[in-house]
Amino acid sequence: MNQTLVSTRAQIVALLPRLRRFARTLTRHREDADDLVQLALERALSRLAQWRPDERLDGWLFGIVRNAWIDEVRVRQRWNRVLAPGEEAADVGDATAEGIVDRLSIETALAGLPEEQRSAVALVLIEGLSYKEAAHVLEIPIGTLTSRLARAREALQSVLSVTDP
Amino acid sequence: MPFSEETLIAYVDGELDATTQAEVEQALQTDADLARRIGRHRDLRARVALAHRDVLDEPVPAHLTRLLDTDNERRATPVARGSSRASGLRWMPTNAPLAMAASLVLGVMLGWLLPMLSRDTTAEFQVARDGRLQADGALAHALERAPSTTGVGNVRIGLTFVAAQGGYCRTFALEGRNATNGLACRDTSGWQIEALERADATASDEGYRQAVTTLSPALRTVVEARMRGVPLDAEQEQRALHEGWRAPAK
Repeated sequence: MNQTLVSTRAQIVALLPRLRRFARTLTRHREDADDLVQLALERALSRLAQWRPDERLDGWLFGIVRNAWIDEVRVRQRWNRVLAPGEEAADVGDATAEGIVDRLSIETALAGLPEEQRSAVALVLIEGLSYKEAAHVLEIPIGTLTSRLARAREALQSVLSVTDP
Repeated sequence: MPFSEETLIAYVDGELDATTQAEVEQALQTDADLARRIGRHRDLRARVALAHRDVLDEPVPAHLTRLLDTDNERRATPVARGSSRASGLRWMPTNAPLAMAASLVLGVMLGWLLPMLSRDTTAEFQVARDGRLQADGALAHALERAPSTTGVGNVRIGLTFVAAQGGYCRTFALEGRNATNGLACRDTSGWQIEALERADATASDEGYRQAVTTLSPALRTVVEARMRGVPLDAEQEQRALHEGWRAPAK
């Protein structure tokens, strides 16, 4: 029994809720998100030997999820059936009334961002990766990441009406 | 000193170098406008961080867990229920029940671990920043403070040993609905979970509890592979505990 492998799998288990959240931010759709996680897990398992322990496992998996999503978007564009942003809102679960309103608007606002900005926001603001780690996942320079983050923030600020007092 | 919007964003994201960060903080003391601009970015970050937060509390769909289960089964070592182990671990008390929970399977245990992580026992584990699974809550507390064969709350500590590569390791059991056995090893950041297995639910049905000093064959294999020498006795363990589990000399 390969203990390293077993241990890595146990870590993936623990990361699944976050992978699902990341996928939901990317896809903006509950079922699509879980399909995406499934696809990404299949890829990850087949490449488990490629993961280096000095790399953050969550970052590695986020990268696989994101690349799988890019592939999926390309296929959809080919078939011309990309969902319009916000067309199918994901359930938000139990929450206080105020919480629902707030989160709905945040999720709607996120859904309206271009994919490249949404990925950057998801990794840094939601999943808590550092700039360096997020840039590595997205395979872009840090400067590109920070400008995407700045533009995304600007758009979110205006949509969410986080106005100056 | 005027700060660009980009600098303030990096400040909120914790990405500024120490010098610039100190400058921002210095300016914050007296600059109300700066505080307002930073507050705006901080508020946005806090709100965005809540997006899809509910997903974390949802049970993970079974088809995702099965995906990994299948792979796992090939390595599983199911044990015939009720069969007696030929020999216990050598430090096992002779009166320890041989009838251990059946079908203990080491490793990922997705179908069980996921609901557990997403619900009542979530507090016992956390995913560290480097992606590893780490003990938290009552489990971390018990690993840190409780002598072997005692426990805290629903956590029982089994045995303590020194790992071949240095550092202390302890076996543990979480009692309750999601009964769990595992192995945790201490490093400088805390108790890292090295192995987890589900204690078969049928064990409690049959009215016996797995003794914490008994280990399933699978977990025993892990322990024996890692252990240097024999488990610590009570006195050695007490010393290690008082010394904060500092890695013993090789």
